Amino acid sequence: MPYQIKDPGKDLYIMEFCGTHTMAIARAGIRQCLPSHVHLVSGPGCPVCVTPSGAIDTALQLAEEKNIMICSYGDMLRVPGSRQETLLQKKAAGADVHICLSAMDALQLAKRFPEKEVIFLGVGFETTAPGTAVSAKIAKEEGCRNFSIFNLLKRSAPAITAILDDPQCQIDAFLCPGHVAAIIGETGFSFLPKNYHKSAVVAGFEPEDILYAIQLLCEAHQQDRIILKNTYTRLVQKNGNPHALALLEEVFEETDSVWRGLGNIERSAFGFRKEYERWDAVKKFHLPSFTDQEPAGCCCGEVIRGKKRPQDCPLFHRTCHAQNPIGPCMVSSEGTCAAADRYE
Amino acid sequence: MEEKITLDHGSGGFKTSQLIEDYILQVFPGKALHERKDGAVLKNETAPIVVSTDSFVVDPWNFPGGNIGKLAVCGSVNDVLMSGGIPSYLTLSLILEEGFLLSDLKKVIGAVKETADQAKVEIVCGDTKVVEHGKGDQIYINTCGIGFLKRNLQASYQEGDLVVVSGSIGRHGAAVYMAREDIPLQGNLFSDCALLCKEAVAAMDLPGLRILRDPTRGGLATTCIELIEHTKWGMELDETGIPVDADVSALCSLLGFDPLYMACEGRMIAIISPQDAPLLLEQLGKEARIIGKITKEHPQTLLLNTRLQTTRWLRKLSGQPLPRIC
Repeated sequence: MPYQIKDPGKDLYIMEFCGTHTMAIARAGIRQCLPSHVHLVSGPGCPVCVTPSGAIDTALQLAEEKNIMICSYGDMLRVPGSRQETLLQKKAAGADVHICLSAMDALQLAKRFPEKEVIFLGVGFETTAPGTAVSAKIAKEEGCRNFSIFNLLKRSAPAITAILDDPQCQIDAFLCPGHVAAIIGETGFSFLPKNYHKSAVVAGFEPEDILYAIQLLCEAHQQDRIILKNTYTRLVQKNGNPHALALLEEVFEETDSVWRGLGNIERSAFGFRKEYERWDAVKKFHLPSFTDQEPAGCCCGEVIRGKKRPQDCPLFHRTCHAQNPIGPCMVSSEGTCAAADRYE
Repeated sequence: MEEKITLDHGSGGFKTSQLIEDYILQVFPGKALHERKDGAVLKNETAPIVVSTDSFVVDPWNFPGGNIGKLAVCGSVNDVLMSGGIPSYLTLSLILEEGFLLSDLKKVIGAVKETADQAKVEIVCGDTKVVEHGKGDQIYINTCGIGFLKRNLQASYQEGDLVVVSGSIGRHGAAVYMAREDIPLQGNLFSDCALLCKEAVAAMDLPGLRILRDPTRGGLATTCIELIEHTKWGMELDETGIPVDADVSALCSLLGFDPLYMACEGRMIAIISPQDAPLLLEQLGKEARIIGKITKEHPQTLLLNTRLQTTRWLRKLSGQPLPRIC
């Protein structure tokens, strides 16, 4: 018999913000440990999933330029743009597309190939933003002119706020992402109990970490208490990582940005400060602003907002599956639909 | 200047003969190869012939724990073994890219020789082609293993048969990925690339053995599905029983890969009766584990019992694993 979490006695909707949590929950079969009152809802914390199709279209266009090398994290390569084309297909057709594990890898490539314009697709949240900031800072210090960043970095808190501000939102509590919290700290989520009267527990990614966090949320819910707790103390400090935060402050400023499924959210992105504009691919290549266009019938937008489960989408397991992903939530290895397709 | 492969080495003329003479024939003394005919005439045995062929395009060709030469011998030899045969002969075809260093070719052929000797297989014929620079990736190898049937293995499972793995999984996939992407992590992560002669012969001597397979591309999960998908049987694996080394596990969690889908190149899966499983474990050594069982429940599907004692389905690997963002 699986381990069973104690029933809080009334419905409890918990949103796991982070895609890595979504995947870990599906992989460990954690839903089988939950009493019927507890519902896990996936949030918008998968960087691939919230990157608008228009941004992919722009990257695809850039990849067609002869002297441009596109550097990207691996899982961005399978994300289709608005015409269902991917960077992986461009690569197969001969475009210069490299998989990088960090922005610094891309900067190294720029130094190795000075004849190329190297563009790094900077996606992710507070977890990857400091690494991207380091690459911009070093490029500036070293005067590296053939390197730039197509900056799609996002901030977690404004997306959570956008979800909570929806009057139809049912979420009672949050399982907060341990990796983001390693940067912004437990205090980065204190707005949840303070401004929204929602419990929040920062958790790691082992099945036991997640179970413990859910257990705490259930106990608090049963006793009508609102809690803010950090259970990932082996990595997360109360106020986060001061070095990383200082770096973010130095390189970026808050700007508005378009989220797939959520639309435009104010001050939800890490835009470059003026001193770093030279390394901003949007400015350097005069890239047009982009929008988000969902494939017909695709419910990724509602899945990202926690309003629908993958199984509620008419495309799920019919036309959209791992072999033929249509929406970003199926494409991403951390996407809600991919987790459901692969493990449930 | 270091000598390199040129298009002349593939012309079929003098340089080709010289290359074969100096780099291949000098290394392999077998009679059939030295006759230098278009084909080899092999001694027949009474047992049915087992044949398996495989092409090797591994990038990088030199990786921690082996190189493409070792891999090319292990690959075909192991495939013959997994089919119930004892391998005796091997063919060796090389596709070389113009510019490949002859000193590197020597290393690869040295590994072929060493591994073939260990496996007691004779290289009986081969071929060498050269492609223009940029039209290949340094070196590709095709080998064909030929052996004679020792044990006819069919998927004749019975309820309660056990699934045994000969050692920890995913090392080859993880080591090659780390070498290819030049991941600057320190440690001792090397490929499991190895011959399975001893392991397979020990298994074939046990009457309760049903089938053998080496979980190469697609990893343990994909291979286990292949073992049941065309039968009336299902399979259950126990997550806690599956041996994954700490370094493989760490790399996988960093990149978002699942060790169950990482390739092995020197591991064996055996499905065997519960009576004979302990004997096989004894023969395979302390790394081997019982990781699951055959069941008539959920036919043609693979179920994983997780460490929380929950269950989930395992499906075949879909597409090449790509490292995740964070």
